[in-house]
Amino acid sequence: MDFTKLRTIFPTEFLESKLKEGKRNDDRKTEDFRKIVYVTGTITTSHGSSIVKLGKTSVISALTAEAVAINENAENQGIFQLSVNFLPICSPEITHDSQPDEDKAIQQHIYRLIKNSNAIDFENPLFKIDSHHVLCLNVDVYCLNHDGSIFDAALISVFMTLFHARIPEEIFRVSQEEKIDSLNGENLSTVKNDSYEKPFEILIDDQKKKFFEIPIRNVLFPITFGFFREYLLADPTSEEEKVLDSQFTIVFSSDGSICSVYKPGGKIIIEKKIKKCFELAKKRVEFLKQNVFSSSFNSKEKNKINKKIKNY
Amino acid sequence: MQKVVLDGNKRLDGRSFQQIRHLYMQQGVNSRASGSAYIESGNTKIICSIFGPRQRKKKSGVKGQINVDFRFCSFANKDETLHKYASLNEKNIAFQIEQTVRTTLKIELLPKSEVDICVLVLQDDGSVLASSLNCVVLALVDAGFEIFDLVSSCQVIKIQNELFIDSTYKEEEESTGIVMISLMPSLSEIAHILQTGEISQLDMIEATKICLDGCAVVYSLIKDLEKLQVKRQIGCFRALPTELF
Repeated sequence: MDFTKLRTIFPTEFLESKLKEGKRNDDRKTEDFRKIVYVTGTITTSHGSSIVKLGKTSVISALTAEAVAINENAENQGIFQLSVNFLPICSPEITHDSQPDEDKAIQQHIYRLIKNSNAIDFENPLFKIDSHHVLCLNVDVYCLNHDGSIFDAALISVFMTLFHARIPEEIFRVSQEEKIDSLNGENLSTVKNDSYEKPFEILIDDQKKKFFEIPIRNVLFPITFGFFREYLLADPTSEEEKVLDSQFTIVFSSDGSICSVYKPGGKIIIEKKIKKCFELAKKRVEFLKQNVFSSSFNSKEKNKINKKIKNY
Repeated sequence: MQKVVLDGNKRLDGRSFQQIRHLYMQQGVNSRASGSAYIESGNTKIICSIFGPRQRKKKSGVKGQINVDFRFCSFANKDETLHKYASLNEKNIAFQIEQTVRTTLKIELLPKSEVDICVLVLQDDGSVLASSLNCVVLALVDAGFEIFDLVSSCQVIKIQNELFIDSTYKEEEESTGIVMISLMPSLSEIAHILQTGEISQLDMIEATKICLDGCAVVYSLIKDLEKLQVKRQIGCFRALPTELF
């Protein structure tokens, strides 16, 4: 029977017949990854934003920073809030009646990764505005097109956003005004409007606005594989994800250590295949470092050299 | 008023009173939808996907159904007071979109089926309803639905004694009245008209005239989408590169 004409009715048989020819549904080889395209800073209402496109999967994320008051008992370090949303716009399977919990699972996974791997230096003095206020980073991720390996796209997008975020100086000033409100009865003139003293650097951009960058310790690189029968498929699409036996996600940190290995259910995998995955993943990490994140690293270094640095 | 919305005789972004913003439009941005479009009008960025027609889940009735899901991204707006009423505002706009689509889509050709229209506002910089209607029409064309006409929409606001076409968010905050019109140009019929706030009768007539002119401009742009994309590749006002979609 000719399965090539019955792609949607017999997806398993179709994929199998394609794999026997050494190809996949989108004519990639089994170990090929998809192309990554990204743009940063398109959403001007946020403090940093990025759109990442992995093949046809596209994800938009944006960061808004704000100063929040904390309890006396709470730890005096920065707050990080993340929300990942898969709205009905991204896929025909998600409608306003039935929204799967996939997005919240990914949200928790990314949140724990960033918190536990020390990717952001939350103890940096940047996050401590004064004894009552800390800096809170809200990152919102929206999926625009759900076409497989969404976790990879989401995590890369979050890091792109964090890298290119520019937190304006005003945010620290607003909190000072709030502080004045909370100090009922005290002489207001004693509290200066810009009385913050910070031991970190303040950068100045082209329009002579002062801003801060988020202190990032290391970058996380996610790589997803799918297992189908005896085949190993790198970076599966949504069409393949439906028929896969199991999926396997590795997250590498930029210093080469492994941050997370994630295999949610599915069939058992042999040890040999896992070793193969790690080999392929290491190559992919090098590629991502050199091609995707290189401009981010470079621009950060350039900023430090070219622009005026003031130490308060 | 001078300082907030005007810079001399021009608006803050250098436009005259009756000039619409640069439009960037693209179809087929979502590979999994049956039709999709992206529109960028100044800083207002809207993406729309259409799914279906597919079988109706609720069995009652034989008429085709249109579901509209309209959402703002949480970072679309800087204004915090709007977040409170976001879900109400979203439902209101979704209803307006559904009513307008009903006038142009031949829904009687799709019995016992439903069409899902999903709109996501990436950034809100004024004229959201008009821009999302334009975006929905582009997506409908991309999906290949039978429609009566390319409905093109435009918005006019009134600040003190002046009328501003295609307003930005800052101008909308200052406004006392808003007129939004959806025009079906080849039939020269009005599909949808929405007026809120305080506008005198004479001003309303004047605003309608300006609005219809704006609609005609938008219509010509939607019609020449192919030509427009060529122009974009040379041109200037594009924030997202074409490789993204």
